[in-house]
Amino acid sequence: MAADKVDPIHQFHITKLIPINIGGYDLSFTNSALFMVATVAVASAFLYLSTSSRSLVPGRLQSVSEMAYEFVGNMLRDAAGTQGMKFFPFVFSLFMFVLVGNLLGLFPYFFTVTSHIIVTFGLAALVIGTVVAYGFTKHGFGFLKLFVPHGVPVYLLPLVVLIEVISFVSRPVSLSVRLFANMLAGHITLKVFSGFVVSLSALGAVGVAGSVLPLAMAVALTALELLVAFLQAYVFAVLTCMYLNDALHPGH
Amino acid sequence: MSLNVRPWLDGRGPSNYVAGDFKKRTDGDGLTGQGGCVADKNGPDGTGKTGRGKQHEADNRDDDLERRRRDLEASLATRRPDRLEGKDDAKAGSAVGYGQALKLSSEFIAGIVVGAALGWFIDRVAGTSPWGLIVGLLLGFGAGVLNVLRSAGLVSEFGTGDKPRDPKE
Repeated sequence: MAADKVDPIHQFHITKLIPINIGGYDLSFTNSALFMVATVAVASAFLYLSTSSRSLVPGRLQSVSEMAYEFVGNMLRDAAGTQGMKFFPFVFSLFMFVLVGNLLGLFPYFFTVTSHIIVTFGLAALVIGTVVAYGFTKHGFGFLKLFVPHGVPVYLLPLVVLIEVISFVSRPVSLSVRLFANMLAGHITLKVFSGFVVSLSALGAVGVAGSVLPLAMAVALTALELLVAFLQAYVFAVLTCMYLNDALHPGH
Repeated sequence: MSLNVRPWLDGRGPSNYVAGDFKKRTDGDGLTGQGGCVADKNGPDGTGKTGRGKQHEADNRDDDLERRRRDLEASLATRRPDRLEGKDDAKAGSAVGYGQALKLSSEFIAGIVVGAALGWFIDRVAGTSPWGLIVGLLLGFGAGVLNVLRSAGLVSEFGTGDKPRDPKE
């Protein structure tokens, strides 16, 4: 940002915009919260406005919304079957939130909501909480069949079940870490290369000529980040669908 | 016989055999494939079971060797393109490979972290330090390996017995 201070981590700092303190808990409205609200507002406004005309032959924006709808719908139907469509609002909201959050983060000076692990872990915990809650209400203790693979010898069962449980619990962790690490690493790399441009161009004519290289790299990385923003939202949604499938059909 | 042939083969083909052998080794395929190949060539001749080897014995030894050399070259030629193609694929799919590596490593690390955290938590609650952590770490390691294999599509999905999922993101 500032030419004198190139700190690639600075962009992730949380600052309190409106300090709120209720009962000893710090519930301040931060820049992170602001951008979460902005993400929700942008996503809702886009979907609402682009589909408000409801024309039979969709215009450009309407077809973008419809593509997103069909995309998530097909993903969910493929992974969890037609039964899974009752989770469509949930998966679609998650997908749009992560996607718009990632894309908003690409704007300069904007805060990237998904670059904080607590946010992505919150989303992943919501997913896994839904899976567990729905699995137990639908199947009762039959849901626990999920942890007992077929054809395992009885004397190995305790060990295998323990490992399966740990493997299940590690799912939200890997889900959140993947999204967070991708966004964090991408933004740091972008900032480091942009910082090279600034510090090289301070070296005079040779530096300005040399700064073309990191500038080209930064441009290429921006394109890559755009791809990663889409890809990670997609991966998050696909994995959510697969986990929901486990809740719908444990033990098959 | 086999003692005679072996140095012959080794000395004969720095152009194909030795080079192929080295490539094989660097590819991590091990010596076994090549060794098996040599043994195959030696086997029938050494035991004298093939009719041709018995008939022509000494005078037609060169022919025999010529034939075997051609066989070896042919079999090497069929192996080499495979390896080269594999290398090209790896190069072309480096972006995909990066994504795959990130995915698999996050699965692995998540397994270990969760196992260790659970063990630590059990220690805190039950006061069994450090055994919970040790056992949890080991189980977490197992879960991490299981996660990796599962997301690579090599192990069946949760709750299913015999249906490996095709690998996807």
